[in-house]
Amino acid sequence: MAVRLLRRVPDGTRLLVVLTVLVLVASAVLLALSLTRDEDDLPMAPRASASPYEPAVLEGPGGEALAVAVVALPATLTYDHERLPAGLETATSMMTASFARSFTRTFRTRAVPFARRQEAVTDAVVRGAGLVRVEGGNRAVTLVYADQRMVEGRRVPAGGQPVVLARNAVLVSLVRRGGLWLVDGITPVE
Amino acid sequence: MAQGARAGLLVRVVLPTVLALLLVGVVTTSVVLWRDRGTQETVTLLRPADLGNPQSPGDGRARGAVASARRAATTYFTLDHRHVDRDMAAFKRLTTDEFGEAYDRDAAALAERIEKQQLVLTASLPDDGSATEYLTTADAQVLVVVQVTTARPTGSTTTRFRTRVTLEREPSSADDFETPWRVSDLEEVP
Repeated sequence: MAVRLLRRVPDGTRLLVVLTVLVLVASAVLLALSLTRDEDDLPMAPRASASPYEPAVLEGPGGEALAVAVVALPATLTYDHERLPAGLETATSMMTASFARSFTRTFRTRAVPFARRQEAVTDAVVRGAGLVRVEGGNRAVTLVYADQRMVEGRRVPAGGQPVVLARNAVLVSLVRRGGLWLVDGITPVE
Repeated sequence: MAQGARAGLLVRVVLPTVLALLLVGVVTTSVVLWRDRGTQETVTLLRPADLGNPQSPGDGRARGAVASARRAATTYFTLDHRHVDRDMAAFKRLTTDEFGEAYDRDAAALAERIEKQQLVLTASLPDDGSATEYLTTADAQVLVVVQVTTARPTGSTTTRFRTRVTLEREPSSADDFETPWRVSDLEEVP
């Protein structure tokens, strides 16, 4: 059919028609190759300078645990001397019941006296976070670098820069209960 | 008459030449894309290793990234004034060419200080002090906590460093598990 149609075309323009068809076919192939090309559509690596810090998307269940650790750990280091119960409630809301009890004791014996004495308002800045291991799919251990800073208080001059209280490297242990990852332990790396 | 000759020239010579060149360009680009598709290894996310979990330690490439980062952090902080050049060369063997050159730029001044003060730096890694922050088949970021003991003629001190080791490798279809990780950055997280 196509050959018969081509025979009707005058000699002078036959080459032109053939070339045009070839160019169209080749362009269609090129378009198909371009559209189906594998692109590296990967999540970015975390940047240490990013504020707030965003953990990487990690393969496996540990990625979810790490995302919780990056939110939960700063909550344990953040308080306001005028609203200490609220700070404690926020922190313990992301913990297992047993660790929340242990944390509450430590908070009352160490953080509360310091906060009142210093009239302190603190925050925490995460500098890095990674996965140490997942155990059985429902337990995870993460490592978090976090700086605790006093943003208001006796050590901070009015309008001055925050004072770094501690440059922490801590292991945050988490367990998954009812689909939620909860903090079950925080220990410094020593 | 002249106008007819010009039209004939256009149809018989100019347009076919342009179309032929276009066809060559499109076909060449298609061939390049096709060959690229055959040889290019796709970079994908890897599940981090479960460090310290002997039952399920994880993918060899994932474990390799952490092992390489730990070796790099230990080697970087292990320097003895009696053979500082040898120690620095050992670290450079673990790096990419580019990072090795960057390391060289500060190495001479550091070596001079270590020799002059007769320092012996010894690095050790605490239990669970390493974690995967980001991991693909080609790039990794690993957090490594390092305890560095600095011995001087007058005594010794131990300091904890929070480090982030960035690594890279060329994924290979031949034997991907044998492709080594190279250090492309080692940052002390202040």
